[in-house]
Amino acid sequence: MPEEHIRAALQEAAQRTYGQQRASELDKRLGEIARWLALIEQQPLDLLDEEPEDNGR
Amino acid sequence: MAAELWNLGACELAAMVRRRHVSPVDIVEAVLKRIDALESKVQAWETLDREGALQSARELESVDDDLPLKGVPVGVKDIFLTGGLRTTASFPPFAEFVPEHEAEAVMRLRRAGAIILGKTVTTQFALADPPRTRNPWNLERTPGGSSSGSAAAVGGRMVPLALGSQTKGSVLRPAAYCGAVGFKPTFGRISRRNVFPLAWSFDTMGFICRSVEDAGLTLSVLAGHDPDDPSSAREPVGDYTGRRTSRPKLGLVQDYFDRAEPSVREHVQGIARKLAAAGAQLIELRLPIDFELVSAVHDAIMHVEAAAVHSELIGKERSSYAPLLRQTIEAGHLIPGVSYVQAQRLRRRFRNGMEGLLDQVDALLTPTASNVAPGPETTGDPSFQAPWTQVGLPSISLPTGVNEEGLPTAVQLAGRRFREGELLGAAGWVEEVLGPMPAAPL
Repeated sequence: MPEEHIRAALQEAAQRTYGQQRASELDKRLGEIARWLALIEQQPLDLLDEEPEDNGR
Repeated sequence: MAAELWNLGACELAAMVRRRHVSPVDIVEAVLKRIDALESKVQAWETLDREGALQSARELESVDDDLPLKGVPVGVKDIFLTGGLRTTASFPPFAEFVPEHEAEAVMRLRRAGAIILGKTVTTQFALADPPRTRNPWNLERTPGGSSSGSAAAVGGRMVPLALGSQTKGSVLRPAAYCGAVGFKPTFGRISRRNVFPLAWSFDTMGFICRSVEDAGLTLSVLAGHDPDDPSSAREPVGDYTGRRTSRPKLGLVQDYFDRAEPSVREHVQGIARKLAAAGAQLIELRLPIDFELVSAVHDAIMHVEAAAVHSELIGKERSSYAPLLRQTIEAGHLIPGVSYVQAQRLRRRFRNGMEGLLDQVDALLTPTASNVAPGPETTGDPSFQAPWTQVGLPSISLPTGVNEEGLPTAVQLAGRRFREGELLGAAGWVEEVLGPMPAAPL
């Protein structure tokens, strides 16, 4: 999903959860998060080989 | 002699007590006097337990055991529970919270003969809202965070040793900004039982001290399995004292040098040349994953875990949360579960790659932080310390001197999982080549 779509989805969830005013206050942080999530989502991952990290165990 | 006891490290003090050259009471009185002279400016302490510390010191004088930290005063970051001594996490509703229980790390220090001098200022719940504490090298600069008071107290030589914790860069960065040694072991090496969490899969207990020798002694006391801590590792504890790697092979991680401020880059390049001249073998390496992605993975995971940690409490005490922490929790609630899991998958890829890099060298060497201590409106840049926290590898920050503004500079070494002895061995050699750090001009 493109970054702007992720940001819009996060903004919509923020409005629903916290109301318009607080969602506006969170807007900058949600923009940063959208950038991180877009970057994460762009990475191809191996279906068989790449399980979530478990702190080295 | 007592007037200068505040200027000694943990090993030196413990040795003097063992030889009966000084008493634990002499030491506590000396550091309290130092604190009295500096605390109004530095503001490193949340709670100072004068009477408790003096009482402990008096009791220790009748103990014959050669305890490894006998008589060494210690500061404890105010997220570690201390039995009978208030623990606030800098959270107003906890201002008068006096726990019945105590963090395992604190209990291990007490059993080793250390004296708990008091609680050091933390940023609220160990995130990044700036604290009141100031940098002992320049009162207009931050000491860093979140182990702000611990770093300022050790950097200002009010105490030789202080506990801290690192979820991104909260031990090594403040240590670097304050001219002290900061040590973070492998994830799971030191118990975190009865410590307020921030993000479970990152939170690692560490400490700030004056030398690599002090770090080895302290780790010997704190390391080891705790059956009551689910994250505690069962790996055997090694020998962390006295070993020094001669002319280590060090990997210079170029991604760090690319991203450091120019003056920091040039300084650490100069340090690398000095180490090479002294016999270190240096090779240039690159991170296995782009730095931006490493940071994105870290921040996404941390937001979600902090949101989960504080999910219940923020529902009751929302207005008591500091702005950055509140934003982190509220925004973290909105991150999809799939994104969290994908971030954890990329984190494993990064860890595997980092372990491959470390197979080529004794330790990795980088600047500890991208900058020197900035102003007090921030706790500084955690991006250079976070990668080692993310993959659970041990790391240490060593002071390298001061820059033209009189602010401390530092390098960071990272080593193999559960091989802290090797890391300290390389760090000990580097420390010897770099020479001693002067005291802050307070």
